[in-house]
Amino acid sequence: MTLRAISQWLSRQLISAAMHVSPCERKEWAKAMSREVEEIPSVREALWWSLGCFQASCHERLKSMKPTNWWPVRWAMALWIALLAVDILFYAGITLTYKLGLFTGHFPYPRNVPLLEVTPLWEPMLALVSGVVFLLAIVLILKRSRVAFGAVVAPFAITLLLFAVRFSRPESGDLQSLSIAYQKSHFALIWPILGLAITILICLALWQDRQPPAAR
Amino acid sequence: MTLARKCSPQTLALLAALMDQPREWQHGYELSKATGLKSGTLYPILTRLSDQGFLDSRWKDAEQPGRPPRHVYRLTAKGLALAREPMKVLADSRSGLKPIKVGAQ
Repeated sequence: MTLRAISQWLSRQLISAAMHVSPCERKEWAKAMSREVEEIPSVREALWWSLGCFQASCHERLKSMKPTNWWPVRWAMALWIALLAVDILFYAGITLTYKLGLFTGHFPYPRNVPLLEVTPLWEPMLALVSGVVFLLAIVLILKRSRVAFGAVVAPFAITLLLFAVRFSRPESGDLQSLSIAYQKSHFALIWPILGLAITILICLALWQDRQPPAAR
Repeated sequence: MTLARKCSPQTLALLAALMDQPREWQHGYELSKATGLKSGTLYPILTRLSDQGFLDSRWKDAEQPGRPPRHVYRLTAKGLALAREPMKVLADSRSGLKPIKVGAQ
């Protein structure tokens, strides 16, 4: 087998691989690239051209890949949103129970928790709405609905707002708790930052999922 | 910042090559020769320009019988406007001195 024959064989294999790797919406472009190989007089040049075609197809494939295409990713995202929903619904439930005096008729509940006393009623109500929207988002993520992005971003923004409002209150003691944790270990802040980063990544993945596929 | 100024040097080179013969349909290999771009760089730029409506593409039958058709490209009106922009900027920057107002004292 001569070097020329080997180069031609390699070129054909690369073109075939490029056609295979190319995403459906770019098949025509892959075909266009492959047709040009037949017009290149030099075998060496044709081989380089084929290698470039393979590179371009890989590039297009990577661009078209969405993490939400894989069901384990969607389930992991739904699980994380479920955790957020449980967290915020728990907060809303506890606060509303206290503020409205629900389920405490049989027990002389002492109304003396400073943070709950200063918390206005709209805060747990808003938290309740956010929690319900988060629960709805779980279904939407699993169904791969385009509305899922909004159903995650809106309650997430509300959660951040509620956290900021609560953080600004001296009765919450959040600032002191954070500073004590930070004094104990500088890595203590990693967990809240990681949580925030995971939620932002989920939002980005859902935003990417909303984008229509590239034009043919 | 204008759209043309955001273009990479490779995209500008391709736009310039397409501008050389704005009415002619050109093959990918021709464009590669004209710009010095490898196929791995050239085709992602061509697809992007086509997606953004700057480039027209179609299949053209080969001149020699028995050969498969080839994909050919040319700039759209929008693409021509985009390609003219950096050349205008270049011409402006080369003009150097500001024009002198006739009759100014």
